Amino acid sequence: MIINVIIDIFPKKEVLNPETEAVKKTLSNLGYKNIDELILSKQIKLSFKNLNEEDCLYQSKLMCDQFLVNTNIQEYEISLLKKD
Amino acid sequence: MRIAIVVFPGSNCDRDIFEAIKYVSKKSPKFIWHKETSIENFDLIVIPGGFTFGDYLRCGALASNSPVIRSIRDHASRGGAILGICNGFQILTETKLLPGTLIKNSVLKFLCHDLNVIAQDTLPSPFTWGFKPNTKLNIPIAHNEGNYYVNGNELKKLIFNGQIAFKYEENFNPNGSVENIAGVLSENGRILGMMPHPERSVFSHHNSLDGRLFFQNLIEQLLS
Amino acid sequence: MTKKNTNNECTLNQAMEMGLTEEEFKLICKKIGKTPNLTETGICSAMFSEHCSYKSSKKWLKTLPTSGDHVIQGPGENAGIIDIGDNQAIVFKIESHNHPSFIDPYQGAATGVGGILRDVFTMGARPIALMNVLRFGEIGNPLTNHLLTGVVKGIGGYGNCIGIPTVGGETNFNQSYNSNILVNAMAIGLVNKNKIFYSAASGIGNPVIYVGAKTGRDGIHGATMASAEFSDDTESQKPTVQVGDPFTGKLLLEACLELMKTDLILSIQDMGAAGLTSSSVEMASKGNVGIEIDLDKIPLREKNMSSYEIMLSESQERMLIILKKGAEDDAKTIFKKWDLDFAVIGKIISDKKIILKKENKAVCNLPLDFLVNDSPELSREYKIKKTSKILDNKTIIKTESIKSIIYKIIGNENFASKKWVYEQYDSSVMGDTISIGNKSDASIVKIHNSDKGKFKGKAVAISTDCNSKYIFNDPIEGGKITVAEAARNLVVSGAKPLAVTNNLNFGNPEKKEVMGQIVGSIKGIKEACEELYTPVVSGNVSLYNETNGKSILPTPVIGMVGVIDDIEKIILMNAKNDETLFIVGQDENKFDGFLQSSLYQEIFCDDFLGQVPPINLKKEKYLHDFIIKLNDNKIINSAHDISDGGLLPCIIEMLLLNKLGININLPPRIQTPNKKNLLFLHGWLFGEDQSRIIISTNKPDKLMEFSKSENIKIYCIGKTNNTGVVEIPKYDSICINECLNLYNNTIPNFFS
Repeated sequence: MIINVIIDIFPKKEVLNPETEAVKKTLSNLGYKNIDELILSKQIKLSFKNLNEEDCLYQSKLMCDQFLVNTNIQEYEISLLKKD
Repeated sequence: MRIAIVVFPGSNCDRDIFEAIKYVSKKSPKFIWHKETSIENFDLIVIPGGFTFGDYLRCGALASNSPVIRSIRDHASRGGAILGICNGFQILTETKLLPGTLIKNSVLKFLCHDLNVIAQDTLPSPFTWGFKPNTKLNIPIAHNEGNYYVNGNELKKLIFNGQIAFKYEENFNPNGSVENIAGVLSENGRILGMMPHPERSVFSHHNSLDGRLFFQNLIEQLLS
Repeated sequence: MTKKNTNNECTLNQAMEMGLTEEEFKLICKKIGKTPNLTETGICSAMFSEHCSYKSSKKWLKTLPTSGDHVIQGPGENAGIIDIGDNQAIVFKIESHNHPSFIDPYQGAATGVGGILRDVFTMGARPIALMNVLRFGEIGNPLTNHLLTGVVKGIGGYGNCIGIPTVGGETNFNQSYNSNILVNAMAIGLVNKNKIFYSAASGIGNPVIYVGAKTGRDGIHGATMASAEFSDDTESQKPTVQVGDPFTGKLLLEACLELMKTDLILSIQDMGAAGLTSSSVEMASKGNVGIEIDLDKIPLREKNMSSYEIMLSESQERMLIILKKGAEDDAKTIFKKWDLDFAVIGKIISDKKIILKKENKAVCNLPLDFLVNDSPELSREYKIKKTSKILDNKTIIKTESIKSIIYKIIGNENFASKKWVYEQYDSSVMGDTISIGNKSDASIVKIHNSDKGKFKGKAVAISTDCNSKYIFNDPIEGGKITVAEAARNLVVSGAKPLAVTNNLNFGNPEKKEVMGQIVGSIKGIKEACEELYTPVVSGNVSLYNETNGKSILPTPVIGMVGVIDDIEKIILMNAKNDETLFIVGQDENKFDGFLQSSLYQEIFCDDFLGQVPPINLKKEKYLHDFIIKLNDNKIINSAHDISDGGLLPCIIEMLLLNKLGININLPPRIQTPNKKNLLFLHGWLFGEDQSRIIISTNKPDKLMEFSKSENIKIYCIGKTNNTGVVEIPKYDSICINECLNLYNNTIPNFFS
């Protein structure tokens, strides 16, 4: 069984993100005036074999904390998608 | 004086640091490849600037998982001195040997130019104690991610402990760093990370010789 | 493509889709005695493309001077090489990446830098500097700003990451480049004379090695794309843009240089335009041998790639190496250390053919001599057109005050500081940068570790130049001036000019006038390079820079390299307080100037048609030798070439850094303000007469002595002071702070 995992990595809200600000500003210049919130995220897709859901989740979390995410400035969400 | 320069794939200031230290200390430092697992008996380990692993994922993130990092940690826990410049600073924050994170310059551009950094009044440290507080050093920067970030509580701690080693001049902060921070020390003062490149102001053909002074002071302090 | 063909034979339609003409396809069938299959046709098409064959320009390029005592390698290799003494040599070349940069500014520019760096290190040199010459459309136009931002980020993205300093170049704007920007990248490397590597393959049975990144479907038919005119459906060509990976580029650089320390390599070449095709064909044909490649051995990034795709892929960061027999394992160890792909993909054979196999079947068998020697050389029709317009200064001159004119010139985007651009490049990595073209007229990089004891070391000086207005108005004279000015920039920096690389950017050569610009400027370049002893050792041609029938201004870029034998002889361009400024090459009898084709005319008349300032190359050379002599005698404190904008803007540039002032000593003839004299004064201050240099000195007497004995005209402009005001007595006064403000803020204001 293959389990697909999607990890979304977001900049923390309290950290000023100049990239987000720039994108927002440009969109506003283009006439999109009603944007309330805009988040630029990074997505990592990976798949596990021969692991149960619980372990997939555990390992994904471990990867994030250890390496994929810098928890000083980023936070993340993990979602699992099962596939036979 | 035994000095090591750690080389990762994508390091590109390794030769510059080598030349600067060799000139100042009259002794060649040793290059250490990132796959090596034991580095012992060095008085100073330098992590040079560059684009280790292409800056992929996050600056310094891949390098901070290289085999050599374990022995750098050991060196740190023995109270050994470590200097990280530019990408080396980013690697030190990614390994959490230094607090904070370096994010993209607020101007969203790579910037390379000369500027003044101001030595701060710090806790005892071989990196800063050669300078009178408020000494101005003219040293170039060259980076895309030099915007130093820590949250408010951590910043208070840095200030309280005297861990801020160098600041940019007020109104000449190139990258948006909090408190104009250009370099920070570890809690024991033995590790310094800084964005400016002192190795680029050492020789008479450079725009300034303040980097030479930085290395002279450092070596003197380490010897004393 | 619907017509079914047997034996995979290529149809004429398919051949034409790949860019071959009907005659070329027929010639191919005749010469190889069969109808080629798709792969073979693709290889022929790439080799016959303008980009690889230089078919339109070859005839004229052959006329350029390419040899000299100091030339180690002229055109025909990956880059040119010149001897700089002490068993060292400089390797350099310029190359365009115009079309890809328009389609994808970041990747186009980045891969342009990556490609030119590989051309240099493939010859055994460690790259020590990068330069770039950029041309964009009107500034302020959103497309221009988007392209400029992307190109600058791309150049920095590659150069900064790989750790080679970008030390200079030029960025100019003109509406003729609106839909055809120019991105020309130049790389300069340093090599030990006895450690130069060439591309000619040798040794029957020797292994052919593939190293670097894997092959994907990137940029298939990039070479043919670079040889075709743009039309509005260019967007659909997007997938052909290659993606650069400077990180892998850095690893490849270090791995190759490490392997080059051994004696295992026989020859080596970068897989650039037309990828594996041109590299394998050129290496084998230069070595007078054949090559056999097993395509199943090529490291691939994507599945199910056809032999056609593999041969024509332009994936970046790849090299082809011929090793000594038995050296494979040692070489592999080095590439493994750097985590790079390494594969033995074939061998050198005696039969002068390129033979490709895939899944044990022959997929290509072509004679090499044919591919290289029979590639077309065209004698295109041309007409060298010189502007017939002759303008009197009276028709050009405006009634505005000198002050308002100078502020407009200094605040013009083609004159103002390009700091906004160059601060985005790492210019100080490697620790040897001395000037990035802001402190002196040339960019200067120290030769690493060339100092010994009291001797402070040697340096390389590099300049780039091209005045398209001059070339448009008069291709031959314009070509001469471009070379002369590049050389002058080196001389005023304390260097001795040595050799040239050129990048000829033009429109569609099938048009007589465009071909005339090519032929004319090459004639001018030839004459000047001969007269100034600066042979052309490498170069690149970029044609079809034209969109919907509108062609760019002719832009034959000259990159010139010189050597400074002692860095204490470096001349900077900023004057200090209490120095005397002199014009060298002009005296008090000159009281007007040549305003046609000038920046003045362009700004104030919105037109630049007119005659080109005359140039006498013998006089130019004599001036250079004189300046070198003055410098050897320590008479020059600072120096600056008088070029764009004329005398006054150039004086002001020398005063800016130290915010100095000066009382300008006017020629007696025009000291009294009246209508007639005002006309002369405009010409005197803003005319772009050639072969003039401004110097500052503390030894005016000595200078006058030298000028007398060498019979060179000089003119004393005055003494610098610290008032920050440039006084033109009885006419006007100019504030240096205002100039500085305009000089520094013009470009950033367009991007905030």
